[in-house]
Amino acid sequence: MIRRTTSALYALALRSFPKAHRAQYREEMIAGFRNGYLERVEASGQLAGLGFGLTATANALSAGWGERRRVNSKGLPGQRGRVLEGLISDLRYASRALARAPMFTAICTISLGLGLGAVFTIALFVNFLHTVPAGVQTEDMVEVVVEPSGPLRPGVGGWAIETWAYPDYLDLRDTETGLSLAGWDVADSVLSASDIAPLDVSAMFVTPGYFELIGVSAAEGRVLTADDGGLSSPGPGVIISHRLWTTIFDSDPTTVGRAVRVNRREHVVVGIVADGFRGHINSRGARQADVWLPLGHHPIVAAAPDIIGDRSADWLHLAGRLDAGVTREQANGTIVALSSQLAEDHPATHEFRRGTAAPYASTGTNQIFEMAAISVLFYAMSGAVLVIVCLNIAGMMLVRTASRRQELAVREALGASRWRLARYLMSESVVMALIGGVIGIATLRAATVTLVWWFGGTLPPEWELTPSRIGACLLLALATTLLFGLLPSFRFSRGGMLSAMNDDAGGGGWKVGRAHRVAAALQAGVALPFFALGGLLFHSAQTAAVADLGFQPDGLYAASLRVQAAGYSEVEADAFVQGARERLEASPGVTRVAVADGLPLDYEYRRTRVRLPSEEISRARTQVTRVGSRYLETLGARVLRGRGIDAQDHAGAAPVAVISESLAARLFPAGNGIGESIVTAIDGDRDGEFTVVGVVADLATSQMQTERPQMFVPIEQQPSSRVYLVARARSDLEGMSATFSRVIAELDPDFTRPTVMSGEQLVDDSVADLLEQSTLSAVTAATALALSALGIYGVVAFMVTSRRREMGVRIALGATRRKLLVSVLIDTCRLIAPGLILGLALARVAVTQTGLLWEAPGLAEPVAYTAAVMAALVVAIIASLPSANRAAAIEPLEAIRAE
Amino acid sequence: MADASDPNALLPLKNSTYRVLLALADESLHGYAIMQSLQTITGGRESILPGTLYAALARMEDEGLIERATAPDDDTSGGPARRYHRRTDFGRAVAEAESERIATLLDVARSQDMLAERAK
Repeated sequence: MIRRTTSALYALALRSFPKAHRAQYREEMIAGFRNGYLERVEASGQLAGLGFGLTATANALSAGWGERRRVNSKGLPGQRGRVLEGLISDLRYASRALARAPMFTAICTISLGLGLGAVFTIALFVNFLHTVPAGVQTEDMVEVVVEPSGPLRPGVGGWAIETWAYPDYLDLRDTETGLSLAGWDVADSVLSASDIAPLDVSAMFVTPGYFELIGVSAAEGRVLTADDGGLSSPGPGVIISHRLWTTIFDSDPTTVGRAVRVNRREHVVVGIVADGFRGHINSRGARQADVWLPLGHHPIVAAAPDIIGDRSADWLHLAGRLDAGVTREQANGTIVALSSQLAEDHPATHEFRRGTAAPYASTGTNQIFEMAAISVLFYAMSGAVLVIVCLNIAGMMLVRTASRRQELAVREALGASRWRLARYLMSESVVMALIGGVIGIATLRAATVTLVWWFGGTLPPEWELTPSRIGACLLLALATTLLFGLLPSFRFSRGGMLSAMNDDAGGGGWKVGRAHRVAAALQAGVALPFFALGGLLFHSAQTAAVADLGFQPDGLYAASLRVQAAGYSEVEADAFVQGARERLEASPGVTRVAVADGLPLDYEYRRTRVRLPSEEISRARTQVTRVGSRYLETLGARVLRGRGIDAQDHAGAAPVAVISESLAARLFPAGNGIGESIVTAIDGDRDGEFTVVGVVADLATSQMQTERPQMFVPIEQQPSSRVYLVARARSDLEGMSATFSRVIAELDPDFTRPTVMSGEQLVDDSVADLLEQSTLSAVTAATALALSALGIYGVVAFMVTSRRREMGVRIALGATRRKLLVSVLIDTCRLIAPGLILGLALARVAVTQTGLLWEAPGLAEPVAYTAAVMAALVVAIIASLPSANRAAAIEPLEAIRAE
Repeated sequence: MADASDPNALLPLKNSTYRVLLALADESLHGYAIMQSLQTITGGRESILPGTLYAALARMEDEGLIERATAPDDDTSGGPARRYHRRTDFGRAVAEAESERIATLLDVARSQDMLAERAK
């Protein structure tokens, strides 16, 4: 027993020697072992034999590995060397074989490359969305926000209210919450210098310690510190971004220490932050800045100093960092307790508000769920694209491999093992993966450059093609090799040499994989929604171009006045706007002037929910625009009932509103709405009640195709930080631009020159946007159909190959070739039918739920669906024609001889 | 492959290599016989396990220290054919060079009274 066991172990250990060595010496080594064992047993007993057996086994293992290493390191034709040579030989042969099938190779590699390119572009885009701004230390960082409840909840977009009143910030700061806090807000501002004309910039106003809290230091000079003052006595220091320094200051090394003016106040540049930092929130515009100043210089403080003590004015964002040893739960406990106390002390302003410290998110905590949903959606899309591409290529490989069955059989007859055959087949997949990977990298580069060109600007660093990203693309290409190369490799390396040599295709042929059939059908179906949407959007653009917009764009001109950024107080701002309005109205050619905080087709969504006073649930979502007197007349909108907003609707008068016809129909289906009351919250504030004084014909809101319910409220009763000066004039754009500039310069030479837009521009931009969406939809549909063509080709080709003998017999029995061809085409249609049905359902959901079309498309909808189905069928038939022709060209004698 | 003209290129020899060269002497032996020869010439004080021996034989053949030899006519083991090896001239030269090297060291040890005189 001991001898047998140790002998077996020893024999196993001998496998550590190279194969060639074992071939020469194995028997001798076993004999030597046996003799040595017997000698030990005879001399000293079984235990000595066991000891020898174990020692010799260990020795064999060690010596064997040593010999193996010696052979390999000498470059002698050891086992490893032979394997490597074999791999290189396979790859070389695979390259030659693929070169002999250029169409097949091109289709597969381009499909794989496009799929990989799409996957990586989407991944880069999602990564870009979540990039943490340069230099920000995110560990233990939080955003302190407010969770609304009760009546506050419906009026809030997102899950939280992001802003606090300044007195609340002071309470939080002075309470032991376990957090270090900093307040911040972003506002439009104007920067100028002795050699720099007034320039609109985005400025961030911060409390002392902001930079220290987020962990960002200056690249040049210093950052703002507690020495730069707080709200009451802010210092003159200002920080500028690297972007501003390079573009406006020409990278002047003497910029630190320069005098500048921001919002008409004198400042000194004390520091420049590092390239890539524009604020600790990566929201691409809304909360990014190029200038940082102490909070005391905020325009809102200059305009209304009382805001410092106003508990009802929420305007300050709060960033925090947990103190050492404090958890977020502990900090939250204190914040909640403080919120309760504030609700008790100030019920009018703080009821239904609960503070919380939410984990820092680079996109802003209020967008965290939305961004997560977007990320998941995009990753799902990219994953689906890649899986479909892989299935398609696997299908084509299946066809190709099936047609080489005889060649594989000959190789097997010559001694190739199953693993050897599989390796030979997979080598083509590896070569295609490498080519596809290179195409994928090129696609990614082209896609990023195109996106940057489309949206304008320069390529951000996060989009650069780094060596690691190139490596990841190639790695994914190789990984997908396993996915689509494995199936045909192992399927056809199974053997069955004799039947292959006899060209025995079998009665039922090989079964086309269910995955391939489903994938082909799904692809044909998934293109349908994009086709339908593209068609409907195009129809919408055509209709919108001639539709009644509800206002007269010809002769209409408008410009945004950044009064808050100019550093005016509230009184000064009102006087400025009034003065601009009067001067403009007195200008030659101008017939009417008004003010408002928005325009038709301005792409701004100022939405709120409206309800009746007697109801708790809102009846409609509506666009809200704050307007001055005669705004609707200036636009050329038609007042159907009652009146528009006019001079009697001043501050202090009863709150009124003018609503659009569609909103009136929704709220007051039985009556005309005049004199009725409606309830809504403007800007997420508490609900207010308004009396309807007029009903106006529907006019376009933020975009042409967005819904038309709209309400207008007096800007003097609901002040806004944004003001448009709107004029109707008998002049062209150039003339009106000069008029606007003259008027503004006469009032304030330091005010930035306004950019004037015309009504026609607003309309053209909106139509162009619709066309862009339509084009994008159509391109996506075309890409999806192209991919589906590949999948359908693969499946149908495999079906025809597997049924070759059957078809030959049918021809021999009298079936015409035309009949056979039609039969294959009908099978194709049956293949994609389930996908088309699913696609139609998806199209209907897309049209009704995505909100891209507000007006019912009418007859255009069934036409769009029909066209989409026809397009999918045509593409499928074209994709299956080569295989159908091949089926019709089968020689029956050949097929029968094979039997 | 070792430089056939320079026995010193292989020094110092592996222990197993030196023992096999000594065990072979001027005879042609198979593997097991080499193991037995080593034991005999060293009075049982030295032995070599099969794994080490056969790895050494392959290496020494590559290095030209030993060569294959035909089996003698009186090989009547009855089992599978055994491979016989003998020392080459180069192998002998290498063994001599190694012996000189060791002898130099032994002289030093002897001068320091580390080595007792051995009975011949």
